[in-house]
Amino acid sequence: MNNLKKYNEIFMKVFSVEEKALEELEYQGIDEWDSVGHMELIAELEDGFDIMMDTDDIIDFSSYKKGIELLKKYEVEV
Amino acid sequence: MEKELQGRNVILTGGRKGIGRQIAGRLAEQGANLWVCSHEKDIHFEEDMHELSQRCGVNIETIYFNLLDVNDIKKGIKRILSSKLPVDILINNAGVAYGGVLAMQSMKMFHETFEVNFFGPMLIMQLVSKIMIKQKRGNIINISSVSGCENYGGNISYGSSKAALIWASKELSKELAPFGIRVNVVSPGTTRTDMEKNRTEKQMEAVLERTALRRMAEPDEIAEAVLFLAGDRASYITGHNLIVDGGRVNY
Repeated sequence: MNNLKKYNEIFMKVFSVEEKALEELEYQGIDEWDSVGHMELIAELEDGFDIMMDTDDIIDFSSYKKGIELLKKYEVEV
Repeated sequence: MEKELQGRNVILTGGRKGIGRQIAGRLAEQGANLWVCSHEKDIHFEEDMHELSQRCGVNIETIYFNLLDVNDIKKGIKRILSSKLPVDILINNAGVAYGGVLAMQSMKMFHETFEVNFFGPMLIMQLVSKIMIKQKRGNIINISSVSGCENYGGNISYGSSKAALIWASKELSKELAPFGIRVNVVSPGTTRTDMEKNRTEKQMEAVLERTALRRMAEPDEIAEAVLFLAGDRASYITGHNLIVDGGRVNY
């Protein structure tokens, strides 16, 4: 599975959203992406990509698009 | 009969001696595999853990990190997590005690007390809870102290760091409950460990005077309370501060 597919599937699984909605997805933009959902998202991403994110990056992870940018720091090209 | 914690994987800090060593023993006897953390490498500790592992037929790995060093903590916990094994239970037991009134407490001592007793456990919980969130289950037990529950003067940094740990544990019990993670506290009273050697005879008398059972706890009596919270007998308990103090704190 390529990284984009894996990244998208994690979002879809955690937030129960369709793929077409991902591009515009933002933290607290939907009910499911609250602080609890955010913790779950990070846990799934860390597990999926075998990384451990810094707290600053977890705080900065404000949208689907921002997440792609942040993952580059961990040598994950989405 | 299956042991209470058969096959569970446990991270325990401060497991080299005192209450932590008793916790390690009780959990291993009940079938738990352990990562026992300590701040300094010690051949006696290594041998002790090896013997415990053999005797109980469980896996025990010693892990070393210094709670005063954020990067060292991260390195130690990452080493544990890199095993990719589930983490069922986290016990933050390591602590440091500096008694004293505010006027006699240097800011260095204050910082050190909070680093070890509060910020270290916070960082460990932050790292480990992510695995537990993914697992959708977990159990965290923080060892505080009755010093965090009562005010008698002369214990400003230790008492406030332990009070902070109790408050944070209760807060985390709410945050982590949606993921099936329980968070509880055990607050021991005066317990027969090296930490109590810091007290003068007079101070000890005064403490025992206000302890209903008029004696110190043995470390195993504290470990027994931890074992209870660690197992499924406590499956509906979260956000609780279990005070094990022989009747010292009035609530």
